[in-house]
Amino acid sequence: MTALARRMLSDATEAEDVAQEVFLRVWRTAPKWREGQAKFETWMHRVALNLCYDRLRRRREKTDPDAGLLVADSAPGAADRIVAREQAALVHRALDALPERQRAAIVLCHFQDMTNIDAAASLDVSVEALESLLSRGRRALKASLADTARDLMDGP
Amino acid sequence: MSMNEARMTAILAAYGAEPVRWPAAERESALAWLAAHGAGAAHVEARALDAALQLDGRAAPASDALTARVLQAIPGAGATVLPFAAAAGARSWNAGAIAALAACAVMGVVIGFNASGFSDDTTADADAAFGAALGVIVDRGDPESDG
Repeated sequence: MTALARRMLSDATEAEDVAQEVFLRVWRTAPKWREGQAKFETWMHRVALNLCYDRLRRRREKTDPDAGLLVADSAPGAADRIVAREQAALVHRALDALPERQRAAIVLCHFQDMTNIDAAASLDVSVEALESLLSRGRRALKASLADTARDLMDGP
Repeated sequence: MSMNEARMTAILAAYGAEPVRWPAAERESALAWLAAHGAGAAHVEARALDAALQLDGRAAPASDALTARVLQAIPGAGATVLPFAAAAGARSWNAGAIAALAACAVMGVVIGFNASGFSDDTTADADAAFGAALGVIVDRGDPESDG
């Protein structure tokens, strides 16, 4: 849940707040949950996503998730670490730039390893709609990350 | 749905190049199609994007602070229910099970719980475990219930 919220919000502190809130909601509403209505995992992801959407809506100004990331580093291997941080920052920015629903679809299917059926249920959309969100999201990411992807495929 | 080039391209565009992410119902036919026709440009592009996304690197586990906050929020439970192994070995396990399973669910910890009725860390087992644990929450008057 923390990883999902971090990718949705790009803020580690807020992500942990969301994870805690998910826990509390699960705790409070567990008696209402019935096996067979929805998979527990799907239900929890839906709760987490809705909390993330709420926070994104409330956000008045966008924070820079990579602030302070590139600091002076003279230790051995520093150059590699800096490159890795820069690449990670590129991916973060590309994901952050996606519309919320597309980002959520990518996070659930690619990073949370959910099946298409479970991810669609978490997003409360059909599998066809999920597939459309994924395709559009990946197309946008491909455009944002074309150079990075090409470098990775070409190798060192 | 029968597999053809258009559908294969659509699968790669949506789910990427890793078969494990493809729709289960189409995985076999998609793999057969790829074996017969070879990986084309769409497959190469999907693989490149998958690799780029792996640079994200934000799969951080929950911090100790979050763990403490979650455990403090459990009514009637606290540090004494952990480690999870202690809960797993207890006969009257419902408080420990609830705490462990709920905390696992939130913090992404693999279920390492071996009470009767629970086995390992597969998604199906985890879901069954969550369900059973929540059943205990609903029926808290039965401390001997083991799902």
